[in-house]
Amino acid sequence: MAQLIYYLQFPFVRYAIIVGVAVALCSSLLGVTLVLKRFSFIGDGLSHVAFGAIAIASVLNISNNMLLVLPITIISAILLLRTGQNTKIKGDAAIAMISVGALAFGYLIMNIFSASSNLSGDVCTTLFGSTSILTLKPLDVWLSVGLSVVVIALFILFYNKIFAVTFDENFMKATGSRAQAYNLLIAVIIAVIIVLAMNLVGSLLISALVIFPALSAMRLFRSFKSVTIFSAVFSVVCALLGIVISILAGTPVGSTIVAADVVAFGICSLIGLILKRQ
Amino acid sequence: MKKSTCLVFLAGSTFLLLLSGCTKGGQKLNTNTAPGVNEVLEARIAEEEQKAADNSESETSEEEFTPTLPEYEPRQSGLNENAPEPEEADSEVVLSTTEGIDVDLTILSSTMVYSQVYDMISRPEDYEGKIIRMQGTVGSYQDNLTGNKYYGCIIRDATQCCAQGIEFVLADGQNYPADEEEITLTGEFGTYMEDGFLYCTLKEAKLEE
Repeated sequence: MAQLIYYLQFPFVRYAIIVGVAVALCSSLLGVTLVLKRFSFIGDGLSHVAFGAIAIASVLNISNNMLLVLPITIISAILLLRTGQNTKIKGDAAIAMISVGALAFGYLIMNIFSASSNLSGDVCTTLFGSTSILTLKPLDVWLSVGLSVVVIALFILFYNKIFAVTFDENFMKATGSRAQAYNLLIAVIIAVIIVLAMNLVGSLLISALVIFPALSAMRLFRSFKSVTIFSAVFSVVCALLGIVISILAGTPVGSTIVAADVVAFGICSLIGLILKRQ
Repeated sequence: MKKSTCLVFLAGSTFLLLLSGCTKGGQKLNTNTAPGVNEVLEARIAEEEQKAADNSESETSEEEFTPTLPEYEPRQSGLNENAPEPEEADSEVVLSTTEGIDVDLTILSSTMVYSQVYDMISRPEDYEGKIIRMQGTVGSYQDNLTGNKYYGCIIRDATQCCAQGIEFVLADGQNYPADEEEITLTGEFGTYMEDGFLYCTLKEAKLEE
């Protein structure tokens, strides 16, 4: 405990905790919708798109790569969510195609054009988060917190609409609501969350932040509201636990957070099983 | 210039950048801030031609060479005028429980050490003059063109894919350890300019047994 208090003196540790909690909260809120809409894997696909965009940004020497990464990821999210159901290439195949394509081109661009002295380190950092979350600048923190507040505000504001579009899109259309517009809103929010979460766990582990809290909550609760609230609490606790363990034990931050998610999921499944038998 | 010479020079420059990793204005380490290869090579060629013309110095062998550091010039001298002034709170960096040491990296976990070193080379102005204690492996690089030899204390992150280091110059009377040797040293954090780049170093460093 004394060591933890000592580590909290370091500004970058405080920044990591603030951003970690904000990102975990956002990702869990939308996670429930994504899991129920059978889009669990979209986080993975979009994160690989973001990886490709980061590669382009680093080659172009753009100091704040979020200016390029965010728009590209948002466009990809819109394309995946809107066209996935109406084209010859269906949702899962489209996600897989964009995912591996972006990953391959991203690495190719980094290899051919990047003059970085530490290419393997750059790739490793982007894929696994490495210690990115512990190397944030105050501006990154403000940007992450600001975007997180916007995401949470939008979720609360459009909670009923998101609920409707999640469970019965056709009914929503029949009642005259603009289901496509809300799907678009969800796509934009997902893209923002993915870009934010890349700092926390890296592009390969982002899906864990989206699916584990939702799936764990579904083991214990049945209503949309209670599942959403529990997954938010679950995600924040696991992210905090992961960050604290990683700085105390010297383990990689991203994989420690995901490991905490997996263990907590196992506990929730066990509790769910016991409750079901009673 | 021969292709092999170019390659050796490029490898050397890359190692030097990796060794210190300081960038002007506190930019991120992984961001490419290096000038064009041709510009660097041309500058080096011109420098060497000038030296050859003067014919002033003979070649120095690796064994005999005593590492020298370009004259230390603090930020106020105008070398880094564009760098933002450090905030008052940040300028009082004391992150150590050991007396006489401002930042003790040896008591931190590997994740923390990596992040702290990253912070130091991203914002060197906040750590100028601070006494740093660190532990890591020795890495060295000799610039064949200038004859200068540089030593660094290298640390790795928890994923083992990224490494960062801080250059050090030992106080007089101490022998430099061999590459890959595990060391613990204490020195004063400082910066200097060389070939248009800002480098970080631990001056007057002392090795611990």
